[in-house]
Amino acid sequence: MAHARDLFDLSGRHALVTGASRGIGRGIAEVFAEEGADVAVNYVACADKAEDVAAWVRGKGRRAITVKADVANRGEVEAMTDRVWNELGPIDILVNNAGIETIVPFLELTDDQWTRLTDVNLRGEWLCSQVFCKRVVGAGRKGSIVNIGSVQAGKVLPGRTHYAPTKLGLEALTRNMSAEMTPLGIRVNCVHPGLIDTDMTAWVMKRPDLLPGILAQISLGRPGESREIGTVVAFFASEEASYLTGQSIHVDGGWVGK
Amino acid sequence: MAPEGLFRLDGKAALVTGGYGGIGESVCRTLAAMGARVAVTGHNADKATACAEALRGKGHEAYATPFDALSVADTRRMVDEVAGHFGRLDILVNCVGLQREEKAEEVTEERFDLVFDVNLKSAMFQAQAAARHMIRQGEGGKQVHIGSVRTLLALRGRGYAAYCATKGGLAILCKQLAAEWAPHKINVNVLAPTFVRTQQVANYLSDPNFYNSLVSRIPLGRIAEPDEVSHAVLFFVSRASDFITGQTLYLDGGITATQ
Repeated sequence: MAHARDLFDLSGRHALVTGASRGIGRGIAEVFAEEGADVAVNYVACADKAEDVAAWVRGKGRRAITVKADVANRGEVEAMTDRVWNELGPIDILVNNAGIETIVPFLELTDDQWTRLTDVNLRGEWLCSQVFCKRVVGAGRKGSIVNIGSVQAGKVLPGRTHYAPTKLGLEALTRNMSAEMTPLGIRVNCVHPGLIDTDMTAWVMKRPDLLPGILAQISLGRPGESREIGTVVAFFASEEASYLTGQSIHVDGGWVGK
Repeated sequence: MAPEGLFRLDGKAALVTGGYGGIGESVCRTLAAMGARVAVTGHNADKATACAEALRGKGHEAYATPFDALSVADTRRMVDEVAGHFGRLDILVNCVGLQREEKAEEVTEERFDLVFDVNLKSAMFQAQAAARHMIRQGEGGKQVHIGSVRTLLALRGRGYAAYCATKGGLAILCKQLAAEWAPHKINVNVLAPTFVRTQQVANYLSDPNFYNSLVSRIPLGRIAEPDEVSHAVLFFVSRASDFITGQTLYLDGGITATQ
């Protein structure tokens, strides 16, 4: 009799995590490695930090590669997907984590600022997903996509008229990709992180005038850790979530909606 | 694999109400397999006892006691008895629920009250009785209440007023409980499945017209298996979901996302 697979085990799976050189992406890569997956660490600027993450993954006995690509550039995304597929193995899991956030009052926002941010945060996730899905379907394989959104899909914060629509848009992207891709064997879900302690939010953590007011809105009264997003993403990507698709869940310690 | 024991429940005491039904029994097995001590309860003492015996037969620690979900006093008695037996209570999984179909223009007070009392009022007082132990222990806790796709979706042409109202109410009840009990590190979430292959719905599913029209609307093209529900419950009662509270997760093969 075959040895029963352990619950939530990702052994033998190959995962591509975009924007994985730091922050939430790193947390996801770490948990994936602990659960047994091999990981491709995508980055756009910080090659040395991406290599740190890959070394951490290898330290857990898993395989890892780093791969540079701008997720908003089709040629780079296609080259990245090819390289990961050939060097790491057929990709089973795509985590669309790469994103940028700026704070600009609505009346001051420029066309260029809108275009660059929405290109990375929304078109980039669409693009990486389409390239991934074509490859998976073409190979007759199955797969899972987890999109990383934001609490701002459901919560207004100042100066985010460009950012928040990309994150709420991800819910619609998730639902519509799920409707089209689930029958072809690819589940699609979305995780909305709240305030997570990363270098992207370090400026908030260092603001005694801002931080207490924000923490007071979070039911659990604390920021989350990157790995607390990683554990949720690992569950969504696992076989144990085989009936879960088209969903978006807030992982925010109880912030949105009250 | 999970070398860090992310999903292990060793040392935890879990209470599963409606624990011998199709979903509940799978939840009991899954939590026990991950190391939890499990109390099985529901209105039927014989079924609860049989379920606990089956768990013990596999080497797990299990306890059974019946309770009347319509009685707040008996709910408190049952929860206190379970916490007393194990010496603590860390996890509540509420799988109690029923449906009495009546067209909206024909809904009776008696049946509406029954559905309301079992699906919503009982959830409140199960949650409260369990939370009192969790607060006193001071080590947090996890609660999962089983909702339904009817938490979100109406159903055309069917008599679902009481059922939809109570399952919809469960989502905001749990969001509020989560907000009130977060300072005590008690996470409260709703897992909302669509049709699950259980005895309770075997009659519906044996009708090929019903089954085919049901699965034709589900992107995954099939209904859920009980173990798929219990694995999601395990996620919600494990450390893996420590930063999630007050949320409703639809386990539905993608159907709510397309409606």
